[in-house]
Amino acid sequence: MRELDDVINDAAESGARSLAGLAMDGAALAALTLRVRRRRAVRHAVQGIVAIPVAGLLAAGGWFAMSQGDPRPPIPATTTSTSPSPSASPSATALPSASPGAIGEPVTEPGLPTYYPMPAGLLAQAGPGWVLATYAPDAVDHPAAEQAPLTEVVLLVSPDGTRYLVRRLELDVTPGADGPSWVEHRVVEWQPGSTTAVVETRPVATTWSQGSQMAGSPTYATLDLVTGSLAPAFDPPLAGARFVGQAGARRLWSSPGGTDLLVEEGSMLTTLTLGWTWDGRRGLSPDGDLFLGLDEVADLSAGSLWGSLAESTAPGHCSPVTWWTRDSVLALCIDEDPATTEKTLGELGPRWVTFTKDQWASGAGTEIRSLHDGDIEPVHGGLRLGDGDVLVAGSTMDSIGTISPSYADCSDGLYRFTADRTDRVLAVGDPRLVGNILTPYAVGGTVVIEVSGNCSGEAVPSALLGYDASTGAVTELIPPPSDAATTTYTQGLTSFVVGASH
Amino acid sequence: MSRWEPLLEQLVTERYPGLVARGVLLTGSRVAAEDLVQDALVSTFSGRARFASLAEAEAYVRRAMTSRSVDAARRAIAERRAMSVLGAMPAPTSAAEHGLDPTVVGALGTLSPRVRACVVLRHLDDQSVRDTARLLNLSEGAVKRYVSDGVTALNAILGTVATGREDVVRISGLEVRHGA
Repeated sequence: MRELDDVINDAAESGARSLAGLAMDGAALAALTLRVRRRRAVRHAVQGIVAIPVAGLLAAGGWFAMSQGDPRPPIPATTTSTSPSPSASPSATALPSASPGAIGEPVTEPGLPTYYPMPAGLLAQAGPGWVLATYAPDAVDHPAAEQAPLTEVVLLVSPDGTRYLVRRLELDVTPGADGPSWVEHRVVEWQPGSTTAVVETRPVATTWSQGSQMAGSPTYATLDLVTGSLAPAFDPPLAGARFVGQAGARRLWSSPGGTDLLVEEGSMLTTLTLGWTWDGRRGLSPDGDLFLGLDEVADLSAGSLWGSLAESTAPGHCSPVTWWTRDSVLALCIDEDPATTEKTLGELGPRWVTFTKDQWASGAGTEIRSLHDGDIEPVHGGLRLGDGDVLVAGSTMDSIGTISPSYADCSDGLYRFTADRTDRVLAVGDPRLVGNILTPYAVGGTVVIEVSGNCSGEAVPSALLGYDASTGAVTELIPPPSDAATTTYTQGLTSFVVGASH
Repeated sequence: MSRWEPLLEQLVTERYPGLVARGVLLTGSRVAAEDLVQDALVSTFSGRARFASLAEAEAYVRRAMTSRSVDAARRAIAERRAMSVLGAMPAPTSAAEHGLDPTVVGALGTLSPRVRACVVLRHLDDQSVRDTARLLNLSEGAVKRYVSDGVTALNAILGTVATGREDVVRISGLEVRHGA
């Protein structure tokens, strides 16, 4: 009688011999290589995306301005976006009424969205809702698989999507054996009307095993948008920490690795382990005294944690989505731990549940509604527009959906959710959506939506849309590179700050 | 060209048939096997691991194939369950298509995805219980139980005997040794 090992091994070996003529043709290998290049590139791009929520959220405390006493914006009667079709040429009508200078001709340049030259004095005229952004187009279909971005620029964008080139930044590209190294910048603080901004400077190096990655610790400098000069702004409290924003007098940092929130207040530094702290979009509470992490809430005033929601709700499982009110969190709950179950989502009793601090500790929240086929399940994070009124990127539930630790962040649209209704704001498939990861941010009453990446893991350049919560209108603010149809870009927009009221 | 690209090309050129054969054991179909191989190649070369040799890269791809096959099969099972179609694995394709012993492929196809993955890792790759558990995100006890169940089923179908191993399963306080 034969041994099982021998039988299995013989089957594999004889199979390999009989398939010996099987080969991947050149086109298939090229396609495979391109997939790998894009995956390697997306890890670089994701780090950029991580920085964007920080910048987008933290524009001069605009989050608080919106959150405090915010009237609940009406849900638009229409559930579809009403934006004008995207235009390759920005409108010339967006200059402030006190136009500081003549607007020139639109410029189209490889790797960049169409823009106008910067009129003199426009920075001082920019008001709430204007966007300051960095843009560094990076493409993969070049002879070198990993190369530096084509250029890096700062753009100023009016609320109607007119883009102006503020200035070019120096990438300082250095060739290396495995590929080049360079320096990129991310804008993290800017007040509309100001001619300076705080930027994070990020050294990027190419390595054989990891593609292009941040190399070394980020530093923070004040960029003079007129002259281009850089001056030190502030230092991280420890090497490798990344600035995630200002909450009143507190400066917030993410530890290297992103698991800890470092709260710097004067000479005091408090470390709070939240699991994931880069995602500023759902972090700060409406009053700015609490910070929602992956599974924890940090009380910034007390320097303490609420505890693990997953533990308090076991053997079920709840995952926070965003703030629901000033002091309660919206979560998606199911009956079993998704890491161990083999049931489909529909079999796990999915439901929206809110938790106050006391409920968080007990694990017994307030059920808002249960989810069934055709309902929307949140895919990644959300944004509170007002009490009981949130935007979430979600996907439509079906009975075959599985819960898996490795499930991808695939959403089919951006939805506005209240206790009794769900309205779709944007649907994946909309021509303005260059990716299918949709992330909303709010600053001072302005809501913007970052469209980034691809849930399959491949890199695509991000885009930024404006959303009018009162009318439902969607405006294209920053698109992918204008020549994206002929060149495969993995990165364009790299950071943005939405100007808030002073 | 980056340094990972020649290694990827070499791996595809020299080891593709063997990887597809292994994929057939895991999926029962050559088409699914090729998809599995390509997904595992993308995953492997997109990751953070650095490979000193072709063999090292191939071993990484093989492990990636096994773990990915479980996820893929779970999704497929859920889809079929929703359509009220039974079966843990697509109907095995013919030996003419994939060149493997249809009896072995069919026997593996009767196992659940996790059991099949455990058996392949332990009995084809000679992975330890600990490494198998780590790779599939299972407890060592679960791996031993799955392997035991799988080997029993395969022996019954194939008329084989288990290879000498020290897989121990505790059942209600009784210690049962398999193999040996």
